[in-house]
Parts: sequence; C-alpha cells; structure tokens
Amino acid sequence: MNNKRMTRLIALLATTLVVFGSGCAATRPKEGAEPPQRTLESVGFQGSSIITDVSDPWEGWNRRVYNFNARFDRYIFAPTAEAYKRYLPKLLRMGVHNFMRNIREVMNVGNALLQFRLRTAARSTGRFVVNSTLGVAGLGDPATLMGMYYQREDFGQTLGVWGAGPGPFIVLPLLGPSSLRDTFGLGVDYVAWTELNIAGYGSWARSQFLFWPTLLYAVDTRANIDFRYYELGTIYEYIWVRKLYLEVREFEIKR
Amino acid sequence: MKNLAILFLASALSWSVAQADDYGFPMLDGFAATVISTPENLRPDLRIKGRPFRLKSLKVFPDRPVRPYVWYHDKMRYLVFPQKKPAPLIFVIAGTGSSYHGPHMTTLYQAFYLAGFHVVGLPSPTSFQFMVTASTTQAPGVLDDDSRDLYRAMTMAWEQQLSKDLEVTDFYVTGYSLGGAQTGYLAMLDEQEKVFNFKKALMINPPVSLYNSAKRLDGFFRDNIKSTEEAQAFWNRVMGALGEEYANTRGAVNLGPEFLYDVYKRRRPDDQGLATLIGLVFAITAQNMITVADSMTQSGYIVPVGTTASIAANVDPYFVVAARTSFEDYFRDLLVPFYQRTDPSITSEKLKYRASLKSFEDYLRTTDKVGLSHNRDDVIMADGEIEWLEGVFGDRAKIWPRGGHCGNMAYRENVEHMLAFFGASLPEGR
Repeated sequence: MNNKRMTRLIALLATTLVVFGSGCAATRPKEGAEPPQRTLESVGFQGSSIITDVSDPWEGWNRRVYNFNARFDRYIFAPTAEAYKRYLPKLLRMGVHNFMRNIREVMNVGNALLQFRLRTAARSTGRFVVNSTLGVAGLGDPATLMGMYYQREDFGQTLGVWGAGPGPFIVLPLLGPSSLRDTFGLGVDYVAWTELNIAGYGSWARSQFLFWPTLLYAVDTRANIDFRYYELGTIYEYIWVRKLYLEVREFEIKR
Repeated sequence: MKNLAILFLASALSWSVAQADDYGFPMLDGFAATVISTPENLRPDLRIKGRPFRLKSLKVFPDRPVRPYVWYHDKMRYLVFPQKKPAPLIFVIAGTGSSYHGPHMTTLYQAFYLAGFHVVGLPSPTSFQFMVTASTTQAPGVLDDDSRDLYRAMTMAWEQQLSKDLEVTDFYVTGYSLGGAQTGYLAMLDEQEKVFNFKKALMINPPVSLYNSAKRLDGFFRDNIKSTEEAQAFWNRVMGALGEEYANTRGAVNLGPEFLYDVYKRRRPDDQGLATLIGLVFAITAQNMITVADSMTQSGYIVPVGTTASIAANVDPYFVVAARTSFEDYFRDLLVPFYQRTDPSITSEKLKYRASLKSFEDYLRTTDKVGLSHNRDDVIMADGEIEWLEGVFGDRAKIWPRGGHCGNMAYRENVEHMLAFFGASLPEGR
C-alpha cells in the first residue's frame, strides 16, 4: 500500500469518526418521570439475554452508521438497484453478475487454500478456468451447469476457520454490518486484490471515469441482496440484524 | 417371493392411504405445514415477467408529526400491481405484524395479478409502519377500530392516488390470518360506507377470537421456554441445525419452503420444537407491537412516559422486557386501560368480544358476499372454533383437511379455489 492511499484511508476514517462519533448514546427519560410498569426486575430478568448479549462496545457509533446507511440506501442505493433491475435486460445483468463473480474467484481460491479446503479451492479454480474460456471472459457461467457451484470465501471466514472469534460488532459506512475480525479480513482481501491486480482489472477499473466499474459492482451486489433497511418490521431492527449477522457468518465459516 | 409380497402389501397400503382423501397437499401435521408452507413443485407457476409493481406512499394523518426515531415511517407504504387495461381491483390485507411484503403476500399478489386483477397490498394494522402512520389508536388488537383504520387508508389511497391511474370495473377484498378477520369486517363496513361496494370478500385462515389465538401462539413459546437456559438451549438447537444444514448446501441457498421441507424430512423435528418456533415468531411480532404501542400511546408500560431516545441509544432493556411480555399482558395492562381512558365503562370482556368475529356474527351469517377458506388443523384455532365457522358460513366455507396456519395458501388447488371464488382463474398452462 503506498503512502498516498494510506493518507486517504486515514482521512476517510477520521471524517467518519467525526460524523458518527459525536454525542452521547442514551435514552433520556423525562425528569421526574414515573418508572415504567414493567422493568427488568419485575419480569425476573436474571442478567443474560441471548439476542442482546453480543459484544458491541461501539454501539452508539454503530447505530448512527446503521441509520446513515439506511438513509443512503433509501434515497440512493436501493432506488439505483431497483432501476437497474427494472430497465436493464436480464441477460445483460446476468453477464455483469457473472463477470464480477468470476473476477473475484481468485480470492475464493486463495482463501479456500488458506482454510485447507482443497475441494472448494479446486472447484473455484475449475470455475475460473471454465468460465473465463467457455464462458467468454466470465460473462457466462457454464461451470454451474457442470456442477461447479459458486462459493464465496473471504479472509474474515478464513480467520474464523483458524479459530478467531468475531470480536466486537461494527457497522461500516456504506458496507453495512461487520465485526472486528471481518473488517480486518476485508482490509486484507482488499490489499491482496489490489496487489494481485488480476488480469489488470483492478488498475483498469481505477483508471476509469468515476470508477464506474466499481460502482457497477456495487449496484450489482445491491441488486442481488433482498434486504431493505427498516423493513424488517420491528423497532428493534438493529438488535436483530446484529445477532443474525453474527449467526450467518458462523454458518458461512462452517461451510 | 416373500419380498415381493411385502412390496405388494406396502404399495397397496400406501395406495389406500393416498386414497384417504383426494387432497394432494403433503401429509404434514398442522405445525409442520405452518412452518414449511407449500413446496415449490406443488405450486402453480406464479412467475411474473419483469417488475410490474409500484411502491406507493400515503400520508394518512397530515398533521401527525414524524418522530425522529422512526423517521423512516413518515408515510404508509403499500404495493400496487396495476393492469394496463380496465380490470377488477382487489385489496389484499396482510397478516399479524406483516407489512405489504412477505411470502404469503407475494403469493396473493402474483396469483391475482396473473388472473387479471389490479392488486393493492396493504400492511396489517398490527405492523410497525401502520401503527406509526395510519392507526388512530396506535394500540392495535381491536377488530372494529383496526378495520376502520384500514378502511380509511384504503379510501384515501383510492381517492387520492389509485383512481387517477387505474380503470376499475369492480372491487374485491381478501386477507389472510388477522387480515382475514379484518376482511370480513371491511365487507360489513363497506355496506354502510359504500365507497367500494365490494362484490365479494374472502377470509383466509382468520382467527375467530384474536385474543384466544394470540394466547395460544404465546403459549407455544412461553409454555415451552420457561427460563433463560431453556431459551438458550432452544436457540442453540435451531441455529446448530440450520448451520449444519447450510454447511451441506451447494451454491446459492434460498431459505424458502424447499430448504425447510428438505430439513424437515431429514430431521423430523417434533411438534414441540415446531410449536416453539411458531410461538417465537409470534413473540417477536408481539415484542415490537407492544413497544411501539407503548411509546406511541405514552402508556408508561415498558418505556417511561416522556422518554426521548436518540437514534444511537442502547435500548436493550426495553428489548428484554418487551420480549418477556405476552400478548395477554399487553391486552390486560395496556390495551384495556388505554380504551378506558376515553370510555371508563370498557371492560376486558367487552374488548375481547370486539376483537372477535362473534361481534359481527349476524352479518357473517346472512351475507352472501363473504366466503371463508380455512384448515381443519390450523394451529391458531381453539377447540370448536372451526366448527363455529362452519355453522356461520355454511356452504360459503371451504375447510381443507390440512395445511396448518396458512401453510397451503400457495398449493395449486387452494390458489385455484381462491381465484374461482372471485370468478377468476390463472392463465392456461400455469
């Protein structure tokens, strides 16, 4: 990682800290208000709760970022993905989706190897070879028809396989729920991705107007996630999403 | 030779079992059917080309301020599938706690849209967004008031928005679960208000008494899970099983009926486990409903009166207390006192009655507009309630031998029956 990029990264982190880190994070009962009719004591709470007992020391920040992400998603990201699905032909979208997955396949191979999952590594390698050739530079996905199915692996999962716990929960700006382990993994994956520069794709994408290939990647990813912020139907959405994120990551680590 | 005889006997036996009734829905008991719903290959082809829907939003109470904590529920959101030519319009009412989306709603949208209806899907009055944006009381659970709120929202949606771009021949209404009960009330209300002049209304798996059904659902969870240790064990069991199953899947996984049916066939969970799961889903719905009703009505039940919370606030204590509060508690401690604020003569019994189909039994008995589709083994029904419905609806009732609570809604025969009730059908080859 060169110095300039490092500086940019630090500046970004500092800005987000200022934006989301301020203010105290508490509910404020009105002065002199009666205690509620039902309290932790009156319901016989014994100090532990499955869903809320999760390491989340930066909850105030996390909730602010979650809310920021929700706004961004509601006004910009989701409508873009919806328009993308509505107005672009499915064939084209499939091509984009396959291409993006294919170019990422090397990360899956690398991480599967690091997890000693040789079968997965072999399958992903086979996919890359078949789809890059028969699939015309990854636009098609004949490998799936041949029984070689896609399986995403990232360095966060690799760390999990090595025995690392998730650590504290973190909500990343724009990227959504994560954990300390998975955020670190994301950084490692990103550096590897940049350094490997597969088929020159990364450096090409960075030199394009508005980084449009990366934006397209983001829209494709969003278009394939069936989730809308604040539509889970509960006022405790943050708490449920936090727990479910951590559970699903455990599932992915086991797979 | 002996093997052959056994084989013959076995096949004869299975033949006779299959002949026991000619309903082709899988031989699942009520609990399993509720959880799994209908496997993909037993559904009609309901795929729709493109994305022909519009998400609409409606300001039902223009003067109601938007609370910063729930800024995202500034308007009531509902979904419309418009036809391009003049067509009948059907309103679809969601079940307890559900918004305009979800698997059952999707089935109804697709089936009616393919059958040629404009389809308009509305959130349940018990859903988070409806409570904030469209409910008068903001404390749901009483059938007449909740249905009136729905009717107001439907009228406004029609007059302010839909009538401007849809050509409608006739109006219809349907709903499942709690939305099914509201469907019946809406049909009666419409006879007085005459905004839509509904030609027909179909109630799908409605509770007879909201209170009884909620109490049953609460019991499924709270009678089986009595301590934190039991809750922990149950959670670990479910997550452990799902995790193992997920690890054995290949490629993209859809946590839909196919996956669940597969898991069920392999693991054969007992009814107690399935019931607990159903109860848990209801408890999560109730947890939200109680918290929102409490803070909206400023009842000081779980959240102290006058509390303001920043979006960043830790609300774990409210989460924990609300999770340990049953619908029965809510009804007794919040809903009844809330209604007594405006009418001191209200009693718990009176409210329970108003939350039940019995409160407008006469209408349901005499009307020829309203039909019923229900299941003999629906897990939310108390003893005798299905028989009561049969007595009230007579030959307007269709009681399927099994399917649990709404589990068979997407089954081919059910979809065909539902559409036929409205004089419609799916296009050829579906």
